Amino acid sequence: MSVAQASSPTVERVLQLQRTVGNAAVGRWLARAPVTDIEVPSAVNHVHGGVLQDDHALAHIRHAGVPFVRGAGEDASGVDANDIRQGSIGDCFFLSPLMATARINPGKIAHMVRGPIGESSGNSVYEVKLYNDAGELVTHHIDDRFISTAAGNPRYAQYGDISALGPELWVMLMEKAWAAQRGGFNNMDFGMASDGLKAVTGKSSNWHNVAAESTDQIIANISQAVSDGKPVVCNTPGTITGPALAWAAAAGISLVSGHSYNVASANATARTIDVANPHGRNHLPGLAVGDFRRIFEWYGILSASVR
Amino acid sequence: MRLELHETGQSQVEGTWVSAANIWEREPIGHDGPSGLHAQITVEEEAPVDVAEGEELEFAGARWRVVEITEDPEHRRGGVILERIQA
Repeated sequence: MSVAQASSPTVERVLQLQRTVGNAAVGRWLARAPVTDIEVPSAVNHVHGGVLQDDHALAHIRHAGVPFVRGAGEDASGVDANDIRQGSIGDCFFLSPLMATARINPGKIAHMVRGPIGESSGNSVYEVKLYNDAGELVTHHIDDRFISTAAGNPRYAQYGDISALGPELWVMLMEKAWAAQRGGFNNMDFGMASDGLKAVTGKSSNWHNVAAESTDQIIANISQAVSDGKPVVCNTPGTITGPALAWAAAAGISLVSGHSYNVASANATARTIDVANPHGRNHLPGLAVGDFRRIFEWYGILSASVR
Repeated sequence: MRLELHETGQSQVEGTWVSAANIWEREPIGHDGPSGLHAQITVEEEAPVDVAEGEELEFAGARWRVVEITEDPEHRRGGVILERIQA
């Protein structure tokens, strides 16, 4: 495991205490010391060709809230797959792996966000951990300013639950941390879901071409993965076939091409798969495996359980 | 007022969620019309509406005209620009 470089006297002091006398001493020291000098990325922006895009630079607005809110039916961590709602950027390839993992082990995700650990220029700062390409945990200091619409709403990932203390921010914080890790939001506008799975879990994934497998193989593989606690992400092709679109239109279903969905559950007996959409709506529940085969091009199964 | 919908993402207009998807040159789905660059607009959980430039649709208590549909042929990502029609 690697840790981000110390970025302020406070962080240096925390790391020194961790090394010499342990985390309990860090907690005691933090309780006494005002932590107001944590360095954060000045602005995790959306750039294109090195030029800041005006529409995406409308405002970095502070969204004061809390990392987790325990909503109805959620476990003690407050993390729930239903907290995830993609916004106006093509980062389904990160949010779908996050959704799939949060559904299986919400506590694992909760341990990746901590704080607020202090302040920076009056904004609350959180510690967010993600895995890099080598499978090592990287720590990011992320403040609670987020690229927002002219109306002041989050532009990208949305609030989770709402509490009396403010909105739930864990999804927005993890999305911003990944933007920081990838060098900006422009580098997470479309990408590989295998990268998203790696960032969230640190593990590699095995990808299956749907057209190369029978429906028996598909339902067996996905049912086994669900049983084993392995996240499954499924991608539609860049161009959904005419028959599939016509089928969806007749059924009143919204399908999105070039989009990463994820598997919520599978029933090997009924041969159906519940597919979730990181939009937080327009899910595909009870999809017959034949229809799954008609819609999706690839599905990826994490190489290890996240339980 | 203009609204830019980024393909595969979703945007909120006065509390209503709208998304754009399936943007490429094709025949319209669900109605007759000439082949061309089409997109599907989904409002909340309603069935998607297939549109071309110049067509109109209604959501969030207003009528909207499809001003522009764009598609990057290399990366297959695009977007739709809508303009609210003044009453």
